[in-house]
Amino acid sequence: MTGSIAWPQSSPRPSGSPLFENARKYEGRRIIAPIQFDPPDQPLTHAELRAAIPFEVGSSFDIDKLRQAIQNLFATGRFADIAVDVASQDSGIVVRFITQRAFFVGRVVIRGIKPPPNVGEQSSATKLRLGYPFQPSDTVQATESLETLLRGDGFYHVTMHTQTTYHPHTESVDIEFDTQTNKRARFAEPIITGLPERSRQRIIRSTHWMRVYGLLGWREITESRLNQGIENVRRYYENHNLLNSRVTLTRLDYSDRTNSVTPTLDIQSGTPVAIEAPGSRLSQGRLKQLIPIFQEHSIDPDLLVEGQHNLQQYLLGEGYFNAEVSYSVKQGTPHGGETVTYRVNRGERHKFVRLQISGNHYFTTRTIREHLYLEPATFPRFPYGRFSEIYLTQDVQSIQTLYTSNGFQSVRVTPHTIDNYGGATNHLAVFIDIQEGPQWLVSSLQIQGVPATDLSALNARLVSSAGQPYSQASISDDRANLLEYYYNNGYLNATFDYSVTLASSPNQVGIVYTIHPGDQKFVRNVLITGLYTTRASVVDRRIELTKGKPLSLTAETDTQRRLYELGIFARVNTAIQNPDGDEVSKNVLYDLDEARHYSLNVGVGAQIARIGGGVTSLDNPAGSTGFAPRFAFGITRINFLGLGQTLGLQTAVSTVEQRAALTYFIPQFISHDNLSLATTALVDNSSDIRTYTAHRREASIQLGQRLSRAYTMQYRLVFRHVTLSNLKIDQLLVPLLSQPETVGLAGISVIQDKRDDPTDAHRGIYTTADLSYAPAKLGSQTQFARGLFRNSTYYSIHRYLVFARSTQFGLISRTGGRPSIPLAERIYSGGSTSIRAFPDFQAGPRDLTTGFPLGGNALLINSLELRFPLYGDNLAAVLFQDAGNVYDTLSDVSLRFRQRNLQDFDYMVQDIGIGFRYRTPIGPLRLDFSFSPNAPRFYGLKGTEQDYLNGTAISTVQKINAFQFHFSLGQAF
Amino acid sequence: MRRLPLVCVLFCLSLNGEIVDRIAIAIGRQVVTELQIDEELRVAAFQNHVPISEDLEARRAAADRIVTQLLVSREMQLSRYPMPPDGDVDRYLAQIRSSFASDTAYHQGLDAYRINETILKRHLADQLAILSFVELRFRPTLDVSDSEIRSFYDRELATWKTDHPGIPAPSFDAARPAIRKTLTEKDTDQILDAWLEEARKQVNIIYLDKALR
Repeated sequence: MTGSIAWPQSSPRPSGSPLFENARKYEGRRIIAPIQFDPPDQPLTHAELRAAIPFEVGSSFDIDKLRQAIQNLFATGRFADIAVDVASQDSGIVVRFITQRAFFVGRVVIRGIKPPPNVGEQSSATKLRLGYPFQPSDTVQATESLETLLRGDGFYHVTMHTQTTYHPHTESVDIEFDTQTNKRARFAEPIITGLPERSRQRIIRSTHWMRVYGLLGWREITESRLNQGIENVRRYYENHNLLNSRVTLTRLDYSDRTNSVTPTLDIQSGTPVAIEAPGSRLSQGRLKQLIPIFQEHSIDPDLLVEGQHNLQQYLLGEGYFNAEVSYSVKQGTPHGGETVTYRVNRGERHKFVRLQISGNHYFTTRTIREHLYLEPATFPRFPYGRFSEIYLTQDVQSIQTLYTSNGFQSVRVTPHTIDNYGGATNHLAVFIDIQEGPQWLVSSLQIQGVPATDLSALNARLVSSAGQPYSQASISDDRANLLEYYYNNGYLNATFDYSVTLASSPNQVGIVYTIHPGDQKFVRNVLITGLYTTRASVVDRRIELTKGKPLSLTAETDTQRRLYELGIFARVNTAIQNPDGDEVSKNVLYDLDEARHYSLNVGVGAQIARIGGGVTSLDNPAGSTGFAPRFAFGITRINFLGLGQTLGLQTAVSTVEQRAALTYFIPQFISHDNLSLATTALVDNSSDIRTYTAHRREASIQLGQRLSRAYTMQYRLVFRHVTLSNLKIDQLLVPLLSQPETVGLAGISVIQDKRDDPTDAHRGIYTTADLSYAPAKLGSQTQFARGLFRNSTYYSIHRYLVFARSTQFGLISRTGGRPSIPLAERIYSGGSTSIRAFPDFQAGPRDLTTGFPLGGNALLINSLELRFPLYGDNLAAVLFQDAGNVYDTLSDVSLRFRQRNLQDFDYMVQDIGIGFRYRTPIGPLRLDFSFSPNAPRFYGLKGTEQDYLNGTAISTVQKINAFQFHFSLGQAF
Repeated sequence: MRRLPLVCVLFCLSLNGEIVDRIAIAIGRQVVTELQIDEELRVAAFQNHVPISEDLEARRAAADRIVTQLLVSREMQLSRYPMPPDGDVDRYLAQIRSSFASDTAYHQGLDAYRINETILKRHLADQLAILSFVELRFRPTLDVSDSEIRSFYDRELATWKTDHPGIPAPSFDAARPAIRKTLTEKDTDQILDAWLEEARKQVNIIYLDKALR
């Protein structure tokens, strides 16, 4: 049998499977009819189907091509299963694809679970990802995962009904889990095993699993409470110096009968460990921070060495550059166990007196210093400087990065430290020598792999270009910018490569970017789920993706952002349906969870200011320090009428103010990101201006328009009716000034904000201009125009020194109606954000009899501040000077320093002072002390209003105290 | 259950036409069809000079091999590993051909197994790709120590003495290269198995033909 395969006699000859035999029969035969599909309604268009199948009518049947066709169709992701059959006819064959549609995960709703676990944990436990292919078996896995999650949080009896709703039109499946749980199980008394060496009661108490020491029984079990309890036991042992104790949860036994869970804790108390650090002068708390055996509950050599290193670095940072730290472990403490002793010889404290940078030509020393953390000694901020080897290494790295990102590929930065610098003992100097080396430049840059029509758009996005420094950072930026361009145009799988070659000129390189855009994807449809009360139009108007247009990832996430910014959705989940499929058009999904419709806020606070002095007393026109408790309550209804708008009621009650404001807010007004509309109705009784109590009824409407990041406009109409009571002014004026006043104001404001940090600016400009007019046509009984202008600028004049200035100017001009500007509409000023020589609203003209402020018609204030760090990184100080006042009229504005007499208020009040700022995450806490050399003196009365009416009040000379203090949050301007 | 509707449709439709192919396994967005498994069975049988086994175990094993090939191929594309050059495939093909008594016998064999040289070369390329992947990915990380070689030699020596009394065993130095090769291959298999297990977890594999699971 030479030349043939030798088969064992008993074995059958090679053969094929039935399918293979079927297919083989038709191999090479002619396809005589168009390719058929069953069912006829296919998820892909005819054109897409034709593109996926590499044969057609007239072709010969080929098994390999058939396999390719199945692969191509399946790769679109739109089919769950595909089979092919062939029917033979006289002159050839007919090929038919029998398909089953794929479905994708749509909205997943889980009902009936009282958190914890929270909604996010429930959702992620299902592992059902929006837009991903769905298999019916996925619900089984999701149910199991949910049940496991629920058991962890104490729900041991769970009944779960799963309902899947298929939507053939969108090929999505909504999955609902209706859950019924029993009561959450409670802890039962834990079983303690091992060698706890502490009483059971103390251990159990330390878990905090009991309510009120067990008087109210046991708490409900949740996973976080269980873990926290175990951690509490560990901490309990740690607090007893049993650092190498072991606390392990070995069992959790559920009792069906009592619906309780008995945890079994295995505890090995270990031996006491005492930590000493003689000579370090460090607190026990600091030692705990620095020595990791406390956190790791273990005494192994690695942790001990790490502790030694941490101590040494800490002392270095404190200026003890020669600090020596060693450790030893000795068996035996007063209670047995071990003693870890860190022997610390701190040595002399050094002072980092000099930092010199040399060799830099491309960057100025100041620029480099801005990148450094090292800081030579300055009083009082860093009395010994800020230095450690770690900081030095980091700063060297920062300088290197600065240079390499600007083309200096071979920069060398060499630090050198000198102790006892300049002959002074323990004075340290650091010299940083920079050898910049040549700057590498880009000689040419090409973009390959893209259509020529894209080049102009791509070039506009490049950071690198011919003649610019060559750096990896620039290439990385280019990569992000170029890919973003393609992602925004539907090329979701675009890739980027680059190559760099040496150019003919020295120190120059040529760069070639190669982009593979891949296939362009388009929006098939945008599918929105989860709207119950919100009107669809609210969401539709904010969708930036258009059917048939390229699928832009940026537009997808921008839409998500816009929907979040409406403030009515707790979650906006977005995904591309069938993300891995090769299909050209894809559905974009937005699955929304509407937020709770109502929110409440309750606040309790207090105000301490110059608000004291009694309601009827005339003794203290400038106020005495007083205390006013303050209560606030608010209720907000979001997504009012399903329109995405907010209706809110905010109230506040204190002894100086009672206020209720009803606000209706429309974000993204007329679907425009930069517009918002707020309507407010206000009822307010306030006596913050001590001269009177104002009863205000106000309605306003304001349109906000953000023109750009820096510029905002506000347009508003305000109608208010104000009556005054408790007027502490000359009785002759009361009939005139206590008349109720109706004002209708049309106003416009321009805000320019170019500050680097609005809470604590170091550079930039902030300007506001507010113009309003109260015409008779709007119902104003007194017609007047008002303008208020404020301009502040900030200059960083040194690395840590900021000079800030602010000027305010205001003017009211009566144009008709009643003979004078109503008292409540006048300009008041003074206080922590204006002239700090005055308590709040105490600047300007005063009643010549009572001495209470009357407000004015013009305002001029100028403030200067020098801001600098004081100690460490968080405490700063400010030297300030304010000058200005509120004047009776514009013509009365004066720069005069001296008050001419006790009835003269038209002069410029000056103050100087010092303030302290403590940095917090919400802005600096502020305490300002001011001294005014020319604080006003004026006539006032001793006695009450009744005394005044009786003519028994005594006329006296009053004054604004030359010393004032202000406590507040945020900078003065 | 998921496939039941399609199976019912197929049953009814098959009254008119004959099913010629269908998806057996989906690996992410790639598929293995029933004919692919069939082809794998025939090529493997051809390479091994054995009859085609049609039983379920053989089909499962063939399906498993294809899944492995697809996972490896996927990783090679993602990590940009070089594919074996055409010359290697040609040499491998020549090696297969030389296992036949003559060129005629070789071609008769291809016909008997209903494959052609293009199909064979494709399969050989896939097999070489796996070898190349293993070589590039795992071999550099493997290091068989002398003590492992020594203990393996000692174990085998004891067996030799029992099985071949009176015949001197190869010396340790003489056996060392072969032992190193054996142990390296064993370690490679283990590490490849672990990698495959992990790779299978990372991709969604659906057995539409449940029998192959």
